[in-house]
Amino acid sequence: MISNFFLMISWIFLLFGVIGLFRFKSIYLKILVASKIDTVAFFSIILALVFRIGLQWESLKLLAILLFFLITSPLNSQFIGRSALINGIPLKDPETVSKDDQELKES
Amino acid sequence: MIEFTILLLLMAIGIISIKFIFSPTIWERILALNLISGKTVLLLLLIGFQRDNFFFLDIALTFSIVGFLAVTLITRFLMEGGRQK
Repeated sequence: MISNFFLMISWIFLLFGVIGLFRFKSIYLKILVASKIDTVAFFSIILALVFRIGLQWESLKLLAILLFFLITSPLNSQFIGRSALINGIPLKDPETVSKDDQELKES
Repeated sequence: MIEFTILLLLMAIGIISIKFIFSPTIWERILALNLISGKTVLLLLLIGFQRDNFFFLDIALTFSIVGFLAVTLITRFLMEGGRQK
């Protein structure tokens, strides 16, 4: 019962992650939404599997996989963002910057 | 429930693969690779639970280590200028 509830939460967050990857234009926003939502989906699916089998050695192994992912996923996101920033991708989109400037001039 | 989750994960991997092939810059491709590796670990875990075969847990742990090393080494290579240096 609890396991099915966590699986349903993971469906919602998987859908949000795929939609957000196509919705945003800037690379940094994509990194933000993808890493956060992927972590929540991972967390909920592994908790669902742990609740399904109870307390065994395999559940400890599942929690070890979860711990490894929680350590390495932010590292990967930080490496990708830092590499994009060093190689000259601007932090703000040129389109949104020009729109903001026009709104400031009009006001 | 587990079968539907496997189906949804396969659809997500397919849609992200389109993003992986048709992205303009290389960092978006590495981001898609990162997402695909994370979802593959989940897929291995769910297939192992559906078949009642717990050896898939070890394979999933190994695959997560390999995915982390791939993304880290490629980004370290690109951070110092890549092939144009």
